[in-house]
Amino acid sequence: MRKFLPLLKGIVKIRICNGQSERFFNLCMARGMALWDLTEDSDGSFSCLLSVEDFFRLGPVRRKTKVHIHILEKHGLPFFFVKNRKRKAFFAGILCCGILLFLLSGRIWNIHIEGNRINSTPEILKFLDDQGISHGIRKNQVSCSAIASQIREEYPETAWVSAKVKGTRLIITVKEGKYQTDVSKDKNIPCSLCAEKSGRIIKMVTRAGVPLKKTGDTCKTGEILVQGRLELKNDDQEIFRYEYVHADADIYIKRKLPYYAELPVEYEKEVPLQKEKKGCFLKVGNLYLEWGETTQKGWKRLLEEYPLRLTENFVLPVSAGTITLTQYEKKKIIRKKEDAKTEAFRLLQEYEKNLMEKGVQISANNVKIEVDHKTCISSGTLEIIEKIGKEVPVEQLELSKERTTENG
Amino acid sequence: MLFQKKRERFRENLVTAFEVPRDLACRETIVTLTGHKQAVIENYRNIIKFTEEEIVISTYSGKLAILGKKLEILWYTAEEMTIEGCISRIISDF
Repeated sequence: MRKFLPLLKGIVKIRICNGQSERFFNLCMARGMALWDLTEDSDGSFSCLLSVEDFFRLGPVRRKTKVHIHILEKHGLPFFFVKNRKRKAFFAGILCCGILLFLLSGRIWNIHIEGNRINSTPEILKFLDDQGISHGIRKNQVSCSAIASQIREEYPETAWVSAKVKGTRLIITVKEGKYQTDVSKDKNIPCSLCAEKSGRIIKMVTRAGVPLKKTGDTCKTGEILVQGRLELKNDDQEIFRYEYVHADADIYIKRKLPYYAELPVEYEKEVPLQKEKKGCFLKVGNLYLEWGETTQKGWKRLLEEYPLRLTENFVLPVSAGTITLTQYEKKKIIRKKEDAKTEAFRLLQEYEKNLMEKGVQISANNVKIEVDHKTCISSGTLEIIEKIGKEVPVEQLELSKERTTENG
Repeated sequence: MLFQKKRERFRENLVTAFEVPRDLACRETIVTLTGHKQAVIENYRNIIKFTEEEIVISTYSGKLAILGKKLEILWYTAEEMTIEGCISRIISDF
């Protein structure tokens, strides 16, 4: 750095001969002129480096000490400009580069999205693109608050969004979570709970509404389980008013779920051979160039594409990639009885796992796996416990005038 | 002369008592030698002699001679000087 900075202002290498050299050095030092790389040459003269600025202040010192000064070399930016003053295109290039840099720095070149898990980055980027926010947009056209509110509206599972412009980057921070503002609104609407599936009720906890069924009863699809209409009775056990509530209850039913799956004993499998062929391709917009062999029957083609990116999410319409052709052979495989049973059991377990992920409990498994010469059939029923209760609008009834308390 | 000696002693005692670095209090020269290739000299007055084999420097307390081969002054300011070359001897002359 000590040698680089003076180069910006220009440095000269000088030779000092005759006169009082030591006094010359001392006077330079006293006047704050920095000399460096001071060496003695074989002829008794000295050579050193000093800045152009200090060189022009040497006059009085030179006169006092009667030394002779010769310029040996010139280095630095001012000399470079003077030397290349006829190369107009070169300087025009530097100027253009500076102007371009200035103009391009006023645009957004990187849209960075962080904190998103449910909504993928390409999905949000596409949405922003539809809203006119894309790479290369001018900074003053970007309204961070508008972007944040647009994302919040489009993706309801977003808890909060912050958008800020930093340099040429647009940073969008998303926090996803359960958004529960409409719940209280829904809870005020009167409704009843009906069964969406048939089964036997094994557990029922009612928080609001009148239960029409109890534990141990069977229910059918569409049957009302919890009524959202409360009947208020007077001392004579006559209904004098209806109150409507949002029925709320945890109802668990046990039901049988039929299961049937067929697995062929004989099937075809693609067995890869050890032969491989490599190729590559280049894609520029709609132009596609490929090097390598074409796909033939019995060969699998695997393409790996690497798009050219300027920044993290700014993808140019240029991509290159590799093509791998792998030879395979179709083989007929006949499963053994045990293998077929194991595979059928694995499929059943996978099905059960999917059910459990939905919050369903499995109380009994009555599925039998049988293998004949062609297929392996798994059939039977699963006894499951699941939560039901579909909200349906409650029927609004009006009391007859004779039955009102006012008329007695 | 006696008065001057007394004053010198008083200053010495003061420096020792207050633990002030001697280079700050008495402007004493510091020579930092790195291997036998480089020497940094602080608190010097001026250059008396400069050749490839010998550099003689005037300090506030006397002269300092650096002897060697292919000696060169890498850079120097009013406070500090860096000498490079093959340094063989450093002689302090009061």
